[in-house]
Amino acid sequence: MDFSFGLACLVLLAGCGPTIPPAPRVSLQPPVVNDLERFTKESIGMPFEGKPWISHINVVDLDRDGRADILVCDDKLNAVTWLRQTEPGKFSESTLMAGLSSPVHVEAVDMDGDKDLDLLVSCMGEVFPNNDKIGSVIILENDGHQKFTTHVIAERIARVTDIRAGDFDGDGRLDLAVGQFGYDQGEIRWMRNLGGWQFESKILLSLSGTINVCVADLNGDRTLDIVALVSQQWEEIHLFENDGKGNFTPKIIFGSTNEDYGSSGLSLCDLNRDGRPDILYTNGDGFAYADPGKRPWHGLQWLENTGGGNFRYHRIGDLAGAYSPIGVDLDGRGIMDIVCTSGFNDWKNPDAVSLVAFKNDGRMNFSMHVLARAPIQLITCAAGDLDGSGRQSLVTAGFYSYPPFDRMDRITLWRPKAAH
Amino acid sequence: MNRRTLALTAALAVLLGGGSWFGYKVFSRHALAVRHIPAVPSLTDQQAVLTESLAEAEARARSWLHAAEGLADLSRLYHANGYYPEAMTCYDGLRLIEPANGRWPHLQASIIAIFGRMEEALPLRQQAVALAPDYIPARLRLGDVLLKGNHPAEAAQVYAEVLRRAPGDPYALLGLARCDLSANDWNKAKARLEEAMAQHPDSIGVLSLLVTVSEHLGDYATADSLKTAIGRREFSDLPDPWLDDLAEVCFDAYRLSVAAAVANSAGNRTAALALLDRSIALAPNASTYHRQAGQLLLDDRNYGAAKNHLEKAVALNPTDSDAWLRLIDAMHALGQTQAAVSALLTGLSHCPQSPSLHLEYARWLKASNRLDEAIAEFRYGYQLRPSEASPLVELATAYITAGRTDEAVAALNLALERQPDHPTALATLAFLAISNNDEAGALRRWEQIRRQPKTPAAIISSLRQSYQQQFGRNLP
Repeated sequence: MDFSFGLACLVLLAGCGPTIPPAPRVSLQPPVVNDLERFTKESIGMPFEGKPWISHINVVDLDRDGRADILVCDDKLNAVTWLRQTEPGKFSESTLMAGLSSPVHVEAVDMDGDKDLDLLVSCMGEVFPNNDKIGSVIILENDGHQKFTTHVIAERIARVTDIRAGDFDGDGRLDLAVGQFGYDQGEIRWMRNLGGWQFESKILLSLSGTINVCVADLNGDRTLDIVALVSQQWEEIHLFENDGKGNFTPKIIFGSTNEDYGSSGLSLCDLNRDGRPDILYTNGDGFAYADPGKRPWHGLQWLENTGGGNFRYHRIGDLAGAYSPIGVDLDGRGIMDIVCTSGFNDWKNPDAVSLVAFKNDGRMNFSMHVLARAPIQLITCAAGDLDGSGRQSLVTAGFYSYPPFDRMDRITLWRPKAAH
Repeated sequence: MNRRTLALTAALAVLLGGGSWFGYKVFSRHALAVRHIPAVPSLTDQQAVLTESLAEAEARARSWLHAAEGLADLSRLYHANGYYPEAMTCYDGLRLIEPANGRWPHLQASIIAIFGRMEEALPLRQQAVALAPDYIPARLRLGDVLLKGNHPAEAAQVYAEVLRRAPGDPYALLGLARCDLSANDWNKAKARLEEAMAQHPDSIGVLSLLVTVSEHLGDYATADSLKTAIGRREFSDLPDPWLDDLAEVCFDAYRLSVAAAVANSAGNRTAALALLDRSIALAPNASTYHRQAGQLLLDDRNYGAAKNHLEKAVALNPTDSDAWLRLIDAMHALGQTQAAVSALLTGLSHCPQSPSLHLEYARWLKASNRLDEAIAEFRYGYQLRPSEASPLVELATAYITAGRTDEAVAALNLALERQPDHPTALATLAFLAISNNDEAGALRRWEQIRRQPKTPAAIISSLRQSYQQQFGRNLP
């Protein structure tokens, strides 16, 4: 046996080693496109001093004049304000209700069937960590002229972060789904509408950390279900399937074992246009543990609704500090793109992004379009026709609770440029 | 062929065979290692020590005799410093070189799972358990993946196996309790959590869920007692030595500071401080790590060392209001009152919008009997953070000291709008009612105070005494 023969044998043997399939790829990051010229940026609303704390904004035609308006939860003012679109692209801000205790989410819905929009206001009682039962469920009843009467539906409960309406028991009255973050203890409840602004509570889950509850027929049985994002150490998405009579069956449809995953926002959107609502979900909360900051696993994902209450997880891309995912047809193609903001990023780096669109090619392949790098620290955004053009504008708001305190804005309107 | 020749030939054949086998092993391990050395990623802005360590590890991975060890070193460096794709490539190679070692699929699963891709992580989790049946964290992670994948029955089997191997493991009992809750069996969950608490009274995850279960079962006394025991401590993730040891080769200051916070949360302050020391060594001009170290040392009552770190923090970043506050705390603890006042005034000059520093200043003004100025400062502190009740309660105490009772009551009622069960606000209103001979008002507040477990025992005792003196009978 000469040396070259031995070497050949070794080479052959080496080629016959164990076969273990490689692990999945880590990086699924879509291509990144600089798209900073897509929108024209404009500060709107009241001038501000100091550091704005806007926790939520929503686009709705509150006065039903045919123009989309903007509702705002301002936690410096402890108020819900209204930016009325007085003429295309022009807004005038007024306070709808002050004296609210840390309002963090507002939804508009006609709760009493009188053809005007009432407001569901989630009040945490205190935005920053607190395990006391200081939350409240508030409905602001509209008199038809945007003057509101306060109905305290529940108070002294674990801090409330989201309220949505739906007729869960089929009695023709709109009930409520309520997410309560709490801190160490929290809840999800639904509240049966008894009429006359009276509700009774049924607890669905007793875990801390609920950020969002969304309502839709998620399992295709033509009754309204509830899906909830539960953060803190759980980092899970729970589905509560309704039998149409208000009996809910819970199940976990996603959960991360990374207790610092940073769940930050959930919304519904039929992303793949199959007629079933899918789930958009960001993880980008960077408040846990040390100084606030980004994590490499922060990003955006969607849970494809495959029918029958089943969902398939798809990671879309990484985005430091990802918050507030919303489905938006940016180009009017009939295809849903996804816009989200960044609340926690490496803000010392001028290239850190704060507003991003994940553009969809229609086959669920995405490219990440950087829309803005300032203002920074954005945790909420919404979309709608906000200039009468028929095209989708965006609106974002800032919540500045940690340094740096520069590149700040309270409410920013992003109008599409003509070329796009 | 005589016997001697035969023996020599046999020995030569054995030597040749052994040598060939050894050569094959060396060659194949080397070939696999070299094939799985990832391309060096961009290391701009990285510490030189990381670049050098990576180069050394890669050189070892390319050597004939230490290829596997070199690749393992390389994987640790990439994983610990956040270069996950590169770490995964190394782990692919290590799984081929050491197919019976459960560490590699476990670490690969950890990377995939932190990005939320649980279904993809599941086969790796299962493989890790099969290869390392005695490594408890791998089993617990498998149980967690199954539970979070809505497979509570399968998860329960995994947790039960953990308990068979590690009786009383709090994370397994916590997992089983969650499985019980998913089956709506609250009493069984309570029993599991109580068993876990008996053996691990500092397991915050267990205590916190037991509060929830106790409240659900109407046992509010237990829930309140547990809440008091938990205090401000928070949940900490399960110890995982294979993963946790990666911090040894992390050269990213921020990652180390996060690891320090996690270690502190898990009750290991010594480890936390050691990690922060490394953050500071890597980024000596970052104020944040000095502040974090100062806070930990304050918690440890090591005020001198805390002060040193906090002085460095404010020197590096004078606009860090939290660092100023902690520095003032350290100085007070050391009895350095004048220095604390000086630091407070300097801090305010750098952070004029800091509500906490304004409140601290207001407290100092009040203590100095400069009541009008104190009231103005408390009001300003409240305006800066209007959602909080505590500044209003402190404002009320200043009003009371100034004899402006009506304004104090107004401020306390405003505080209760912010936080309906604020213990000091309730107790102060009860004292005011007693002193105004308003027994009905005092009893109404007393009812609220009794339902508020956070009211300090000394205040309760003092209230009872005042009530008895004023009305000649005991509080109910």
